[in-house]
Amino acid sequence: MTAAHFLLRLQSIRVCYDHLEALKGVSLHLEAGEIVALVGANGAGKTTTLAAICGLLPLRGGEIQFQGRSLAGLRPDQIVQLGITQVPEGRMIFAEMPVVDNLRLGAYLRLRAGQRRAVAEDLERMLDLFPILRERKHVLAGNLSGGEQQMLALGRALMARPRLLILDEPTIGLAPRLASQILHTVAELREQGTTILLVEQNVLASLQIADRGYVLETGRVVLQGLSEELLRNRDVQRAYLGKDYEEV
Amino acid sequence: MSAIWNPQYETMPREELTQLQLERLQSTLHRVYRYVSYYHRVMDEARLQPEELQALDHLRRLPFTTKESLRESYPYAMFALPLREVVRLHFSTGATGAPTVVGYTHNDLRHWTDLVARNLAACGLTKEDVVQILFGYGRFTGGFGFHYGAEALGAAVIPVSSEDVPRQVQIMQDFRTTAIIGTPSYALHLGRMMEKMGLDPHALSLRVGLFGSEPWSEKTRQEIERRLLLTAYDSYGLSEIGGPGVSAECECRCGLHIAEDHFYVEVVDPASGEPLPDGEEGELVFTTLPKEAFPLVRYRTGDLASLTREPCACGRTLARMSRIVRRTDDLLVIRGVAVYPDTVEEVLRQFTEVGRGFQLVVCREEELDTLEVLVEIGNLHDLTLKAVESLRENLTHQLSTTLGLELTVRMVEPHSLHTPLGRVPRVKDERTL
Repeated sequence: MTAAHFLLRLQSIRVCYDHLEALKGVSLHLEAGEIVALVGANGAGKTTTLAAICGLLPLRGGEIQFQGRSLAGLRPDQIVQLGITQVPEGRMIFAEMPVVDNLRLGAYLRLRAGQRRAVAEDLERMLDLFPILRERKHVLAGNLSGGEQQMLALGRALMARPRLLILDEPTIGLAPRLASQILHTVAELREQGTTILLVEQNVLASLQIADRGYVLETGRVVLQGLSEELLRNRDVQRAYLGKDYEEV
Repeated sequence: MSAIWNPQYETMPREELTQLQLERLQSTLHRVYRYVSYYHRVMDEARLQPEELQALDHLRRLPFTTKESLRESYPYAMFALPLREVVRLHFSTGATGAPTVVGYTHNDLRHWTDLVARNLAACGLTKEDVVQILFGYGRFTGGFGFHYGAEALGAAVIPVSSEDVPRQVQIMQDFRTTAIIGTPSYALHLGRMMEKMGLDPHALSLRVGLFGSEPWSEKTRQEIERRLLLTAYDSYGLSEIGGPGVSAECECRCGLHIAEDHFYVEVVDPASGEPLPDGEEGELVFTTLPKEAFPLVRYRTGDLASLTREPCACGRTLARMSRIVRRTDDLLVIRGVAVYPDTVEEVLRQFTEVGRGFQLVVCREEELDTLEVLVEIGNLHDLTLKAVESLRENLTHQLSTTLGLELTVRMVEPHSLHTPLGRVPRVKDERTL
């Protein structure tokens, strides 16, 4: 009879860009070990929500708690130290550096803390998880294909051993086969115990691997629930799964 | 102790439950503001946008939803989805007045089933049980609600509904029914008829009864348990917010656990509408949380109860409500004096010559309220006319002393005021106010 413990809690958070209120009281949570999908159209506030969690945007109201502790007043790097790592949209890898060095950089804070051996073990683990990266570990990251770069970005984020991994559009610009490979890997990460907050343009695919989801519209959560329930919801089917009135 | 059907939600720590409720409440408010014209208007009138509700207790800034607003919205103006997306319709029984209608989506039905299964598991039922359902299966929620919950539990379900007593008992015998689910008054009727017909409850395998849909007393519970040789549990629900599954007793039988992950509960002063602290009796007000087709915000139930959030020995963290013994409709104010029919019933029960049924008739004569109490005689043959008159005088004295009110008592024939099925209108208010 164990009760779940919320890893991350957002309570009625508000974020403004100048006078434009981008988030109008968003509340959501993640339990340890879950994949939660954040779904919504462009401009709904998905990326803003992620940026607020990472401390990149100030809150106008509400509170964010991670492991029961408020993130108010923390700098982005302090939030990373607590165990929140984001893989931003567009990957942001270091093109001029080889693959292995990109991966090592992900463990920068841990290397500084003297965890050299653990980092070396994790590097091996990443190369096991992404065999393509092992093949190409000495290639400059800029020479990788789009899909390989995305795997590198994921691997680099995992090198920080995050408690919470935030993924913003991990499959954007990828061919369908590669996209499903990435999402398959995301699902595998959860099996290994990583908690994941996922923003993904492919709503169907993201809800298929997520446990729960939140639907954002113009800065508000208008629906939330188990993924299977959202997939069955006809508003979701029409708005995000491309189904017509006739079909649903 | 019996198994907990859905431990994730039933044993969720309070702080996390509050977070979950807030999330669900906010998305419900956004949806009703957008899709239900009634709530759109109500929120605009209160000058309140859904996003301004940033904490659970901000909800009290919104007005109540009443049975009246539901009636006015008949048939489906309060639905948050078009009818084509609704897969089931039920009607509320409502003791009085026009019907109200409630819709369910697939997700709503799944949730409902899960809630009822939790209640059945909480009173110790498992897939090994044979459950006989005595509720009607018509447009009301009782039959279908419990039916699907019991099926989800994996029990064998016998949808007997209403049958005469011998047939009912025959089925219990033939299939070794272990649990019955229905109204307490029907269970009582069943027990009494069995005695009359010489049917022995020891020949049955009953061990659990789950009863609800009308207020009943501890005394009734004891009589049902004694007559049918089972443990009787109380369950609570109302069609307007979904049907059975809102709350039910666990094996501790110290209050009914409310499914707070699905319903946000408040207790308010029935007169002022102000929220009351835990422990004080007031009117139950519910806001549905994940409902899709028919969400309701601050629905006034008319049912009186108190709440406790103290931990329960069963391990569930969900708040408990006291048993419903009376409703706000039962509260009569006569010449400024508050009269509950229960109080009258308690007095009548002290007299063995009196039957089960009674009725309070309130009239207004020349601006003055009068109360007449109609009381059934228990058994006509045992009483002389003189004895009836002396009983009447005795009752008049006892009742007016207890209630602090002048009144008249009229004795009526046995069984003229109560039927074994359905509710007994205990109050007839003929005042034109």
